Amino acid sequence: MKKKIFTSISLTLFLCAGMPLSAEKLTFSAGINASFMPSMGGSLATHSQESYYQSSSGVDGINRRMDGYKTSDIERLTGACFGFDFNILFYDYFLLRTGFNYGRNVCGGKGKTVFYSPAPDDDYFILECEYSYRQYDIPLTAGVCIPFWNDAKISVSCGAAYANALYKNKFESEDTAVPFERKGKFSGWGIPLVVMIQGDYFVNEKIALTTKISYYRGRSRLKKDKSDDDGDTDFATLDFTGYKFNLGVSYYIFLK
Amino acid sequence: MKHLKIYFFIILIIAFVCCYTEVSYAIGEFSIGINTGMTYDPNNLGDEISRANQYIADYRENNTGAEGEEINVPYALLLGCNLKYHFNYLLFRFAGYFAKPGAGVEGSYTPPGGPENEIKISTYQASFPLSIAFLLPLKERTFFYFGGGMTYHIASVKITQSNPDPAFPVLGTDRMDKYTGSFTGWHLLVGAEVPLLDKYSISVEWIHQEGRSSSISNDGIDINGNGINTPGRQINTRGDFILFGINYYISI
Repeated sequence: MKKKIFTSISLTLFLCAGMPLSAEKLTFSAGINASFMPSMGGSLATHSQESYYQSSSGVDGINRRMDGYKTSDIERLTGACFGFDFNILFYDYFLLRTGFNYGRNVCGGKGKTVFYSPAPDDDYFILECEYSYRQYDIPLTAGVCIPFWNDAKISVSCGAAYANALYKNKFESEDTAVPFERKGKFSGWGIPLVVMIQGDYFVNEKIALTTKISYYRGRSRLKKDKSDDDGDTDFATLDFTGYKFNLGVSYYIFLK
Repeated sequence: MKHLKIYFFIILIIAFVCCYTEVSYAIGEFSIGINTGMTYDPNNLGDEISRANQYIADYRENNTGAEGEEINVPYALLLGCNLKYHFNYLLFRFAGYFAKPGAGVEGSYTPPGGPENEIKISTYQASFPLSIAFLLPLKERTFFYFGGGMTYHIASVKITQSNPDPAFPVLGTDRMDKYTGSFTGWHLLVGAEVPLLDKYSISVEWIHQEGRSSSISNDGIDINGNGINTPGRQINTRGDFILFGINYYISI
């Protein structure tokens, strides 16, 4: 399956690369960018969180408070990403774009909550939770780019990306009759749909400051837990859905 | 009452267009277009499917002799058409598009020594968004736009199971659960359009839509083959649509 997708993407790139050769004007640009991604990895739901900690919606449903228990909120993950991209502009308005982005969580995903442990405990206990998420993706989009005046461009492009992620979680309680530390590790890939809206402002003839909103929507197939030293086998889906807010710099090469 | 609201909204839009045109003395342009594109997870079944998959995988893992195959969250191709009118810095757009996953959305589980339960999910969505957008024109038929509006949805979700196991109700225990409803939601729209030939243009659009029906009665069949109308469920049309279109401008 991976081979087929790789072949398809390579073929598409090859065909697309051939298209603009006959254009009257051709513009290449390459850029680097940094971004942040709220809600990275989505809800981070897994089967064990529902089975053991009464949360069917991952991090969204795991926060609880009770008198006499010292808890702290566990927030969704916020990710920091960096990447680079290549763009080809042809026939004045048409745009092909690819790139590479890498990101990981920088805040959120850590705290303490309360969970119910059935017999023999039959009581509520503090649960320490920790989530982490890393992902990289290679988007390929096509769209249109409209130059406004001499110093600005706005582009809208849509397509898909190859995205790969590694999601880890850890749940720990020392107060139960049998203290435990359960870990989960899931890795996998998916092909999310991608939309990018970008504005370029030229500070000189060849260099532009860029802002971009990228939206990804998609998830992987179900993945099995790769941590096998904790006696628990968990299952999760890696969710690539979310926004990325980018700032960057692009360098343009105009061919006539 | 629901339909009255929609009619009132449409009349309001038309009245606004007429009044504004009169005041500004603007001569706009009409265009009709066809669109194609893609969406992921139409009718937002992804969370439900992922949760069912987790149960199936756990069941297979913890029951010797049990088998299971997970259900894919589907991609769907879109087909649609639109009518646009724009003048000065405003764009009015009415569209219709239809999305239905092409490949079968299927999975199964087999209890130890029991019959296989094949699960099939069939879903479609027809949406009719009415949008107002702010338009940034560069020159004739070359512009970027963003806006939003209301959407009228007709959506359906059907889940069939060949041999549901009451001991493992991963997606309920009915042989068929079928829900079809129509309701309104809202959407955001971002797009750009550039000229292709004399009267033709190419557009790229992204629509993010939100919509949730009220509880819809089941038109289903229970495990014994009897018709049922419970449980009810809501259809959630939250999703994103990528649209590529060709538009033809009509001279007035």
